[in-house]
Parts: sequence; C-alpha cells; structure tokens
Amino acid sequence: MLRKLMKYELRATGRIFLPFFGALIVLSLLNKLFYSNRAENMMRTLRQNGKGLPIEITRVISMALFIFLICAIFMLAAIVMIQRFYKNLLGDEGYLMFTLPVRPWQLITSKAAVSCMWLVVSGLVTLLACLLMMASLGDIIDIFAGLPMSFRNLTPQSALHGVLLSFEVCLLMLVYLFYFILLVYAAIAVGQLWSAHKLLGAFGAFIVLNTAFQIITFSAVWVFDKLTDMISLPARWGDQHILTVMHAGIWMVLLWGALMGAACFALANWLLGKKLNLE
Amino acid sequence: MEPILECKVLTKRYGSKEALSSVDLTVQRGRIIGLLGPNGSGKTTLIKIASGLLSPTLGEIRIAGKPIGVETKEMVSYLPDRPYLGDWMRVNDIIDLFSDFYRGFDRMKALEMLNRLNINPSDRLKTMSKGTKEKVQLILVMSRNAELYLLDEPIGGVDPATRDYILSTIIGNYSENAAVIISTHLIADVERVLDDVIFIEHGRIALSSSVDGIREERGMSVDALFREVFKC
Repeated sequence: MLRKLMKYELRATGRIFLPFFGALIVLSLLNKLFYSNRAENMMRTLRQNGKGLPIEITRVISMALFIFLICAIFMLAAIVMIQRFYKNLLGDEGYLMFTLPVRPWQLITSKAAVSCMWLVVSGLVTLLACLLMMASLGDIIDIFAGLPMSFRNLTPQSALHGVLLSFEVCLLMLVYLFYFILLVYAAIAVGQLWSAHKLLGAFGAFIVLNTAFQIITFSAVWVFDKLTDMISLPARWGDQHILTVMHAGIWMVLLWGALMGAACFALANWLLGKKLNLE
Repeated sequence: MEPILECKVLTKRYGSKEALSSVDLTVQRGRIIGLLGPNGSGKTTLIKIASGLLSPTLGEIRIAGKPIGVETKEMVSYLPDRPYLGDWMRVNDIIDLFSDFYRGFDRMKALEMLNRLNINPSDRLKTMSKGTKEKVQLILVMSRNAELYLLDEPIGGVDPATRDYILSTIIGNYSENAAVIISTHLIADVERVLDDVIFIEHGRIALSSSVDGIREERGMSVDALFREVFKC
C-alpha cells in the first residue's frame, strides 16, 4: 500500500514540479547562448553602433528570471511539502485519504519520502542547470576525467576517510531534511486538534516543538561535554585519532537527528491514528 | 448474524459542546436505514466516526465486530457531504485509484453507471458542475463491493430525475449481506427506499423503528412523523 500511496503522491506533485524543472533547463540553455563568447562579440559590435540596449535588457531579464526560478523552485518545494500534508490529509481530500484501507504511518511516510525526494531533486536540477549554463560539455568531461588524477595522489587511508566523509555528509543532510519535514508534519498534526484554528495551532506547535527539541539537544550536548571532560577523553584519544573522532562525532549527530525525526514521526502517527479530527 | 454496526455509549464532544451523547445503536445487515434529523443533530458526526475520520470522546463503535481501523475501512464505503476528490484528477484517474486501494471495487460497474449518466471518464473534475461531481462520487462509492455504505446527503445537490436514478442505483447495488445508511433532509424522496429510520436530535437517538412499523402503528408517513417530532 505504501508503494501505491507514493505512486499517487508522485503523480500529484510531479505535475507541479516538472514544468518548473523544464523551464529552468530551458532558461539555463538560453542564458548560455546569451552569455557565450560569440554573443559577447556580437554585443560589442552592437554597443559600438548604439543598438545594444534591447538585447542587453533581454540578457539581464533572462539571467534575473533564471535566479528567480531557482528561488521559486525551492520555495515551491517547501510550500508543496506543507500543502500536501495539510490539504491532502487534513482538508477535504483527507475524507478520501483517511478512508482508504491504509495506516496513518503509511500516509506520513509516503508524504515525507516524496517531499524529501523533490527537495533533493530540486537541488540536483539546479546544480545541473548551473553546470549547463556555465560550463561547456568539454569542461564537464574534463572535471570527471580529472577525478581519477586527483584521487591518485591520495593514500588509501585518506581516500577511505574522504569517501566515508562524503557519504556521512550526504546522510547527515538527508536525515536532517527528514527530521525537518517530520517536525513540520507533527506540528500540523497537533494543529488539527484545534478545529477552528488549525493553521494557528500548527504554527504554535511548530514553535513549541522546535524549541523543545533545541533545549533537549543543548542539554544533551552539555551533558556529553561534561562527561568527556570528566574522563579526559580528548586527551586519551590524541591527535593521531582525530579523523576517527570526527567520524564518531558525525555518527552521533546523525543518530541524534534520526532520534528526533523518529519522535516527530511517532507523535504525528499517534495523533492521526488516535486523535484524528476531520471536522 | 453479527450486526454490521454497533455503538455503545458513543459520545463525541467538541470542547464543551456534545455532538453525540451516549448513543447506543445496532444496525443489522440487509437493511437500508435513513438517519434523519435537523441540522446539527449529530448525523454527520456519527457517520464520520464510523468512517474513521473522527475519534470518539467516549464509548465504543464496531463494524462487523471490529474496532475502527484498516479492516473496517475495507468494509465501509463512505460518501461525504462535500467534494473530496482532487480537482485536477480525471475520472479515469480516480477509478484507477479506487481499483488500486479497494479490493472490492467494480470498475465495469462504475464505467457503466458513468455512461448511463453521460459522464465522460476522461473529463477532469474541475471542468464539472457541482451536481456532476456529486454523481461521480456516488458512482464510485456505490461501485465498491462493501458491507456498509454510509451516504451523507447523497441526493442534496442533484436534480429530481437524477435523484430517482441514484436511489434506484443504491437499491440495485447493495447485497443482502450489506447495509446502507443514508443521512438526508429530503425525507419524502428517500422514504420509498428505506427499511428503517433513526431519528437523531441533539446528539441523542430520538426514535429507531422500521418504516412499516411507523406506518402501521402511527398511521403516517416518515416525512409526516419527522415534521411532527422535529416541529420548530
């Protein structure tokens, strides 16, 4: 059922995102054309003849549109993330979603996974559009062709740390992205308990939950700091283990994010399962 | 046979307001029941609790002996009193969705009914009138092979000719193993299809009887009795 839910969620959201992605790629190619060496030479000639203004304006507008579209895509991803949960589950469409023979955790998971996917895809498409606009095909091939050369100079140990660190950073971003999405969902699920002021309730719940998680995080960091000081852990580790300590630290932060995400998920699941209030 | 719907001391409060007060109710299979009452009497609240859209404050509700959950949602076919399908979808998309999620959904029956009412399955919902959207929703709900149909105001927004078709659809599409609960204000229109009626007022069951019983014992129609009981 989760697979089916995700299929329909992708279909419902894809129709919103894909035209934006298409427009961004088209604009990036257009800008590439406008700002190519050939175009620059042409502009120089036109400027000398005093006829460059209309094309200059078009170039500026095209670049401004490109930047505006990138901002719009990320704003859209955030709005769709909230709107799909709020409207599709707790608005009139919720009358269908909550009468389907599926469990609340499946509904939450499908929404969170698809929202997360669109945020990541938005980042990747933006990166691709920038690459397309700024670099030529030859440049891109050179970048990838140069990678093995860069790795050749590394020792196996530092290469391993590099690969592990890249993996950890990606995972860290993903876990905290999920945590943030689930925090928003939990706040919306709390907000629906106040039927007359759902949005206001959700906003208030977000502030309270976020503050609570921050206080808990700072308290945990403080306790951890005191504990490591007490047993003089950094001194025992020494400088030669600094990379190992860094990896351990990242995994602790990762685990902490996963725990907070799980807490938000459990809260949203309990509220939608036991305290649903679709008035 | 086990009742299809059973409520015990079912209570729902919205803040200090009690929408349902200690409702005890048993609905048997094979019956078409009219859930009748004035605005704000608790009809929709009762139907929503049975569908799993509202959590009761107190009491117990069971569908075919089971508490509300995934299993009961498979058995209950619910028609809300408002448009609840994504406007951007085509009728075909929604048919696919119902086929994907509900095991007992009869696609052929749905297409047949759409054709009978001249509704093009390729049309998007946002291009349809309010009445046509209501027809689509009812067709989808009645095309499910469910055990309990909960219809909240199914004929409120459609013309009299369509009303007749809808009511005959309701009668023709449920089996002896199933029950249909219809909540409506249009009592005169639905009276001919009802087996039983439940009058609800201020969240309490005011009367529960068979339609034949009302006619024999009181010598009046359900519509006339409703006007007498709920006289302003």
